[in-house]
Amino acid sequence: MSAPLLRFESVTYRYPGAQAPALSEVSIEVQPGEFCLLAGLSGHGKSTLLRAACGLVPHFHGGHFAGRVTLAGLDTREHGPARLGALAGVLFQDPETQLVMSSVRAELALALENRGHSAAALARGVEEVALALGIDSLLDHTTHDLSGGEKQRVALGAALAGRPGSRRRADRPPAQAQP
Amino acid sequence: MRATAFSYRRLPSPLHAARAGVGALWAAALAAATLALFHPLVLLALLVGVLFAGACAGVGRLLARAMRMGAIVWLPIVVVNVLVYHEGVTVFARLGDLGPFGQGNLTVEALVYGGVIALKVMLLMLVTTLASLTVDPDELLRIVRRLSFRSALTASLAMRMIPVLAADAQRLFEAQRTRPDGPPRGAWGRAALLRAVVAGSLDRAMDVAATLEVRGFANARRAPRVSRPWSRHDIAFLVSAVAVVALAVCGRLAGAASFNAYPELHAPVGASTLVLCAALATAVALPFADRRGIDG
Repeated sequence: MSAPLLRFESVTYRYPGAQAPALSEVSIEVQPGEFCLLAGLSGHGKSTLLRAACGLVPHFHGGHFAGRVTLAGLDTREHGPARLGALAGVLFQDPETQLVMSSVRAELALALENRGHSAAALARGVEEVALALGIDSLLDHTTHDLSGGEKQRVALGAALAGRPGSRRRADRPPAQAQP
Repeated sequence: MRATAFSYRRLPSPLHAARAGVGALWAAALAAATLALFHPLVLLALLVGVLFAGACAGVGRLLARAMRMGAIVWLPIVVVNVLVYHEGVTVFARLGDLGPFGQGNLTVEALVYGGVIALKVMLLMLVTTLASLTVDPDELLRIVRRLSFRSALTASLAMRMIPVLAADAQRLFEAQRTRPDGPPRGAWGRAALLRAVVAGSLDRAMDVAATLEVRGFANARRAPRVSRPWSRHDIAFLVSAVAVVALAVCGRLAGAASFNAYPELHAPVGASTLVLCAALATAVALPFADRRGIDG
């Protein structure tokens, strides 16, 4: 059996100012190629778990963090979301807050630009992910004009850009996406 | 009306075809001329130029709408100026003793000066609107990022929050409409909607910031420079920007745009003023004459 891609070891996390922990003694392992579905009631920490997996917890949100999370061998306490973002894409619940740029092309290119890809690699990465998700016809559209499902697919494309077929975590992604 | 109506969309026009840096520079030149000049006739010439530019760029209706919406800003300027400033010698109404505000003598000079300031404010609003409608924000952001990361981050968040909050307000309004007694009406209803949107804005800003974080914005390397040959539209708008600034400076130095409101109105309209007006309007409008490669 290969090393786990994602490992939570007795992770307990409490948001700043909160009395009760959002995660309590969570231990899980996800192997490469494994498809996981996390189900649970609202407010029971599914989104927090995702945020802990990509390093937003604790780097971005602060709060009290105990235990250990490793993603592709990197400890999330030592590596921030920007570094971990190069290894795994994250798709949150609301597509509205996941589109930052004005055009779809620029949106898909943003993460690649941030990682310092060359202009040619950037253009190739954008085209590849757009074709893979069937959003190549939207490339020159403005993000304001997209439907909810299109926004969700573009946000997914932005999470996958530069690494089609690699790992991705999603927080209720299919809610608005078209089949 | 959707707030996103005032967002950038690529349209077939020379200004849209120019590179973002040049488009922003051109708009900055118009704003600088607006700030530097006070003569009402010269400002009106600039206004005509800006409206003509908007029409040629395909955003004339939106500019007209922005002008109407801007009335809530520039109209009070005239009213407040005429009520607060009692300088000037030509009294057109006496309101008597206004206590801490002194004698309520309303003067023509204060009215005209208020109008000039209002015209400048309106012009600045129109220039800003024109720039936001015609200059590609993604390309501009790339330029800003090369200069200052923090400014680019702030700009990214601010630019994204406008459509996000507009969409939130739209959704809340639609949800309220489905209630049996309909949405709260009038000013109270709008205030309640605004309160709900503002209350959620911090959470929404945090979500956008989290997205930027996982996309690696914090560790962003210098954006790759994409070399692009200068087009004739780039050159035309750059020359126009230089000409507008030069005309504004020359107009001020030569006294062609001299204007004093107090104690008596002094706004000479000589040949030099008329030449300056014509030259400014022409400098603003001329880059739009070349539509080769634009109209199919």
